[in-house]
Amino acid sequence: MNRSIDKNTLFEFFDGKTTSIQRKMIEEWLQQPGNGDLYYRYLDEWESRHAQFVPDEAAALERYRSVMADNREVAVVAVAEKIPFWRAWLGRSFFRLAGIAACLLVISFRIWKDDILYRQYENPFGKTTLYTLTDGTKVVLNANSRLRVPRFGFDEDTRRVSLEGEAEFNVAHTPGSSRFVVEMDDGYFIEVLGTKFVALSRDKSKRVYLTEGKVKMVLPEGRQLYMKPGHLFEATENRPGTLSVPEKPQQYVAWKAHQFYFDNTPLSEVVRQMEDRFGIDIRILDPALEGKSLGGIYEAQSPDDLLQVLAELYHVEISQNKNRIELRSGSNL
Amino acid sequence: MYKKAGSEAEIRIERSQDAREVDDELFIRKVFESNPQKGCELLFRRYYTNLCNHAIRFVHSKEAAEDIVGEIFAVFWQKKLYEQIEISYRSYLYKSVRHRSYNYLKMQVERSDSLENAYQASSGEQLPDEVLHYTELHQKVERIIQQLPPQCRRAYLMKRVEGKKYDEIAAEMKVSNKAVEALVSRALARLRQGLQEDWFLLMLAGVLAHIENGSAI
Repeated sequence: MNRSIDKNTLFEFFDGKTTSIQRKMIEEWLQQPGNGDLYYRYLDEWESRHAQFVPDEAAALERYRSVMADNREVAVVAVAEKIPFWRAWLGRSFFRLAGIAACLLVISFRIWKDDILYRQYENPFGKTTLYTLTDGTKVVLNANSRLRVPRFGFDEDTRRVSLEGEAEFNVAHTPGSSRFVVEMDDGYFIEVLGTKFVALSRDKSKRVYLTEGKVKMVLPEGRQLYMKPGHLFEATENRPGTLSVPEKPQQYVAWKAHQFYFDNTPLSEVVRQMEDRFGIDIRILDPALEGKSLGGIYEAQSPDDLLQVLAELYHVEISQNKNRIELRSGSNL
Repeated sequence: MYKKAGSEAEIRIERSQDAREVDDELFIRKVFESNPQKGCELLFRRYYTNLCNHAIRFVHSKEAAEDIVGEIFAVFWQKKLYEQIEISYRSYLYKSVRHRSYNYLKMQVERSDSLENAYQASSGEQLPDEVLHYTELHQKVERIIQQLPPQCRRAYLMKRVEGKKYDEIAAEMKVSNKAVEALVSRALARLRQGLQEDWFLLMLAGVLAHIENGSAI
């Protein structure tokens, strides 16, 4: 049954005119190396002869040229789109390649792995953005934060994302009640069904504040904690995770409105928070200032907004030295 | 210039299958070596129209067909796929169009936005049987549409292929908006029914799930 298939037979197949026996022959013919390519060559030729419409090729080519003129980076858009299929192409070859081909592929896959498997949302300093994930979950990402969402399998039984920085999650409930898991560095996980919470994972400190629903915290030691609305989970490198009920939860959600929330907060901590959000380097040069503390809610779109407040409240003298902002006590104190 | 190369290649195919290595694919590959951008452009001009025509067999929408093909080319450039693809570019492009169109169709049929089965053509080998199924799938789609009642088919084609709005179609067909909506959704329901029972979708869904699991490392 190794008879060669000619173009006519294939054309008849494309026309839907072949018998099941002919079909079997084509199938066998396709197993021979090189015939796969030939199949598509004939398909292309057949398409040329059976056109159904004439797309505006000139306009499309113009668009394509501008795509090529853009840099290669694929821009991250504010509202998450459906996972582009093309990103998955390597994933598929993964499945079937063998031997050397597989090795080569594995190498290239390794290099691009993150790019292929995950869509990354990243916010620069001084910017918070609302993203909507494909499952309907809304994420407000704080400044200087990154969220990684898998491109495939995300909508399946477990929705798994990883967070570096701070974000508020409003997790959509799915028909299949699939779990939503936020992975934070250092072995902390948050597991939820459908709920609203703020999570922070910066350096070694972790913080989760739950506003609605119920979540399970999985800690590095394997310990698990169940949180109820109003609960705050906090952990640092030296202090294992603890649950508490904060009296003033505003401070955990203030950043969403470009605000800072301070409650008798030492200036050193104020400065640290500003550095986190705006990516600036601030030094307190006067020990007298270290002891000062600040209270209240302050809106600040840029570091200047808050620095101005400091200058007025504490007679702080602010000067810029290269990339560093220096704070000194004002002359009249 | 590439047109000439194309016609020469065709003559060779007519003469003998053994000359299969020599066709415009080779010429385009050469261009890619020195100037990928030029190569992409050449590839685009050579295949864009044909690929759109192939896609529309599955998706029945000019707009979707053009989007699908446009995106494949964009990715081809952005991810420098031309450096990695070992099969012919033509095969890659057709496979991609088929996979994407299939996903689009499946989404339409399942009335679901979930893309758990989203995947893309690879440089890996497809099973011969699978290669043939794609052709049979668009034939089946065509058959189902052909068998629709005339009014129903007309409304469906105007809506999907020509991308007309409901009130435009209603005016043209001299029926109410609601009636047009009903006709289009009946057509989609038939399509769904015809394809969902089809072993093809089931089989592919299985294969896809398998691939998904295999690659989700």
